[in-house]
This record gives sequence, C-alpha cells and structure tokens, in this order.
Amino acid sequence: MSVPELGIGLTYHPVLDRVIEEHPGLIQVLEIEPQTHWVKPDPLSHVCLVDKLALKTIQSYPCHKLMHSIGFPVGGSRLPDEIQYDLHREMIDALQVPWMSEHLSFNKAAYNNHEYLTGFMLPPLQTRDGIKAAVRSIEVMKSKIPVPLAVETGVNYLRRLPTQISDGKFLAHVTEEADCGILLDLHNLLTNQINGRQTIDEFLSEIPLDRVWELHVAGGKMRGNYYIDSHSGKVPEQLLEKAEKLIPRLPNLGAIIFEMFPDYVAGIGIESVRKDLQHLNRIWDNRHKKRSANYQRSKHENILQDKIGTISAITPIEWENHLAALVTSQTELTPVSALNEDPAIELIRGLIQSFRASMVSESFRYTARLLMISLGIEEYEKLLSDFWKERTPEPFASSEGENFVRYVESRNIDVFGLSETIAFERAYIQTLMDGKDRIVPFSFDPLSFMKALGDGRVPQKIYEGNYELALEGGEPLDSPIFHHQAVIH
Amino acid sequence: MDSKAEASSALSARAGHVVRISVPVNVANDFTLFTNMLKDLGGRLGCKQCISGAACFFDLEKDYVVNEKGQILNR
Repeated sequence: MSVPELGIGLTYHPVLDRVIEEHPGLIQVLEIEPQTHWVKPDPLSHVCLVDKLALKTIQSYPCHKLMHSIGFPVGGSRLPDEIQYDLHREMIDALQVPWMSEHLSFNKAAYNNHEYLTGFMLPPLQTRDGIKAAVRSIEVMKSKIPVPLAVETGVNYLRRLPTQISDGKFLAHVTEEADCGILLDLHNLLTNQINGRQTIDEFLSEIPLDRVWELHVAGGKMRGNYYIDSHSGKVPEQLLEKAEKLIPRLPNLGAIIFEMFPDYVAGIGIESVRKDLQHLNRIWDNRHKKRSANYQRSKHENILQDKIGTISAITPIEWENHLAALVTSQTELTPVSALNEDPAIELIRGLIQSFRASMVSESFRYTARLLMISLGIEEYEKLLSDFWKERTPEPFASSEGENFVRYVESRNIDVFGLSETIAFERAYIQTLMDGKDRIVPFSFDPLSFMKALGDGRVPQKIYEGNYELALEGGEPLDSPIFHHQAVIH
Repeated sequence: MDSKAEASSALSARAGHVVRISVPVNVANDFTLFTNMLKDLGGRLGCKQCISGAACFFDLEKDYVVNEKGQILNR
C-alpha cells in the first residue's frame, strides 16, 4: 500500500518550538511521541490523561502530524497494553495522523512471577517463534487502531546468537506476514553496523523496500567501546549520503524525520539543527528526479523462501525474561550463557540507569541535589543503585521519582531539610496536577534554602523558625487553560 | 531571592510568628537559575522520549552541584 507524501519533519518536543516557528518552510511534518504528552494525575496509579494544552499547541502548527508510539512495542510475546489504545485513538483523531508507528522490540518481562516494564526497548528473539510472536502483536494492534501501522527497526547492541536469523531477514518476514509498513531508522542501522551486527547494505538488500513509509535519521556518540543511538547531535555525513542514495529506491516513502533528544539541543545549537533540516529538504526535493525505475523485490523474495529452522533452544518468552532480568540488574546469571557473557549487557544496564537517574533528577530535582550535595556523588549513586535493585523501572518520571523518594524515606537518611524538601516537591507535583492550593510547613526559611539548592550549592545559613510555604494552585492539568509556563525556568 | 528579603523573612520568624510565604505554582520551580532546557510538564514528569542511547540529564546535574567551597562535586 502507499501512504501520502508528507515531507521532512522533527520529533516534536516543546524545546523545539522556536525551531519550528522560525523555520516553517523546512518542517512539513511533526512526529509526536504520544506517551511524552500524557500525564499521570496520581504517580502511583495506572491512569493517564492526554495533556490537553500540549495537544492544542501541536494542533496549532500548520503542518502534517505523525504518531510514533514509544511504550507499546510489538516485537515481543506479550501483547501491547489494552489501557493505551483509547489514548492513542484520542490523539490519532485529534491530530489526523495518516499512519502510526511502533517499535519491533519488547519492553515487558517477568521475574519471579512479577511482570514489569524494562524501561528500555529491547531486541526480540529472531527465530521462527519470534516472528510468530511479533506478527501476532502487530495483527492485534492493527485491529485496534484506525490508521495503518508501520514498525520500526531497532537498535541491537547484543551479539547475534547462531540460532537467530539476520536483522534484515527477521524484519522482512515479520512485515510480509503481518502486512504492515516499515519505519526504517537509518541511525539504528548505522549503530548496529558500527557495533558489529549486520551492515546497512546487507540489511537493505534483505528487506521489502516498497514497505518503507518513513525514515528516521539522528546522530549518536561513543560510550566505551560502543557507538550508541543517543540522538545527541548532527546527522553523520555518511548517513546523509546513504539516505540520498537510498531514497530514490523507496517507492512509497512518505516522510523523513530528524530525531533530536531535547537535552542535547542546547549543546549542538539550533543552527546545526537548521542545517540538517536544509540538507534533508534538498534530498527530499530531489527524490523524484533520481527515482530508480528498476525497483526489484527479487532478492528479498528469495529470502522469504529461505527456510528458517523451527528448532530453537529458547522460546521468545524465555528470551525476554532472561534478557530483561539481566539488564535491569535483577540477576547476574541466566540459563543463556551467551547472554550472560555478552559485554553489551553491561552497556544496556548503564543506559537504563542513565534514564532512571535522570527521571529522578527531573521529577524531584531539589531532593536529588540535596542528597548529592550532602552525601557526595558516590554515596548518592550507591543509593540509586540500591534503589534499582529494589524497584523495576517506571516509564513516567513522576512515578520513578515518587518510588525513589519513598525508598529514601524508608532508609531514614539523616540529611538536614530532606523531609521538608521531599514534602515540598511532592506538593508541587500534586498542585501542578490538580490545581489545588497546598501548604508545606518548614522549620527553617525555605526560600534561602531552596535558592541555594537551585544554585546547586549547600545552603550557607539556615534561618530557623516556623515557616509555611503556600503553593497557590491554578487550573488542573487536564484543563485547556492550564499554564504550561508553570515549569518554564 | 535577594539578601534583604532573606533577612526580612528570617527576622519575622525569629519574632515568633509563622511566616507564610505564598508561591504561585507557576513560579514555584523557579528558584533555580539552572537550565531552561526542559520546559514542559511532559519533559519533567512524563515519559522520556524514545532513544536507544543514554539520557544525559543526571550527568548535567552531577556537573552542576558544588560543595561549600564552590568546587564541582563530580570529579
């Protein structure tokens, strides 16, 4: 099937509002990651709401919208959460997206009969049973969303086990059997190539190029011995060259999206983002001039004829549980020795931990700073590490932060002002959510104390006394007039 | 907060009164002079954006906090 030709775009984040407003001619599409625009009124419940103001802002941009889901992957043996479908449909309707994409990965597993989220997209088992599991998930999702579905090729830092088929072959079988589109993430392919998995060219020779509806490009960086998909900078020149050669061979391409992680925007500068967008627009504008008349499916059709062995020492569900337990630090040893010995396990652990530590600092920033300043960085990291062994990851920063401060409270850590700082940040989050006024008592002057933490330093003087910090609420979060500037700083 | 206001609120507290400091929620998180990179609620409290790499916010925070001598703690 074909999809409409939309053009060049960005993964949307409010940090990029300025880029979008100043360069309307360069951006024809905004790709929305729906879960980043959901909020949880109660950090410990499963109920989520669409952030109506964010939705309104996105709707106000006069460009096409696409939806790229990030918490609902279709590569594993556990089906996507039913609870997310209504929110997806609400956003699809509101933004009028022509197609939606999800990851050919998994993010749920079980350990000791406890099912949990991994906090990271993990690679599925690439066997005949793995294909079957992914096809089942995709078919279920296709039946529940009102637009066509494309699946994204993932990053895989692990070594390929001898019993697994190649990345390209796996994608070819899954997409042909499930009859869905492909979101081809060229930076993921580059990452895999640099780290020693399949080369980009070999991968491309194995997949049905007529199913590619969308491309992703991004920049990455080295972390130890691995090149990682950090979305941290300019698109590498070699990737732009690869895109330029590939695009004329994609008869049904609808969009090219530049992915940039907001934390890195300040570091690389808006100008650099603009240059990459200009380059991508040139490639897009020339796509028809260079379009290859001899698109061939022959090689990949041969690949589909290849027999895939049905005997595997491990089932998809076992693979998912073992891999997830290793990377979330719940165990050091699984029955799959090749996994235990793979050095990428340590890398993925570190990546998951970077997300978890960042979520705590984002949601309970003053608490985290107070602990870092009072205990020292090393001791604070040890505290985080102990917490990670006790609790599995949460996808929402507010939930991860609340779990962490509860853990801190249970440890009775002796740090001056800790309980008041936690109480203040908890009240702040609740007031943002429900708009209600709250009063937080302090036994010392809170303003000078918080100001010091805001500056990242230890408070110089403590003015003891009876203080109350009154948080004046506004409109609750699901109201259309809630002011987002509440957290601009 | 300037030192005059700081001293004033401290003096009031010493006089035995409860000092109520009212902070509208839209500035309650503005004590800090640090970073305007994450400006939306989703960025602060919601799901992280999708990457298969590392998040750097914690690293930035580690490089921001200093000890009483003003030295960066993350060494």
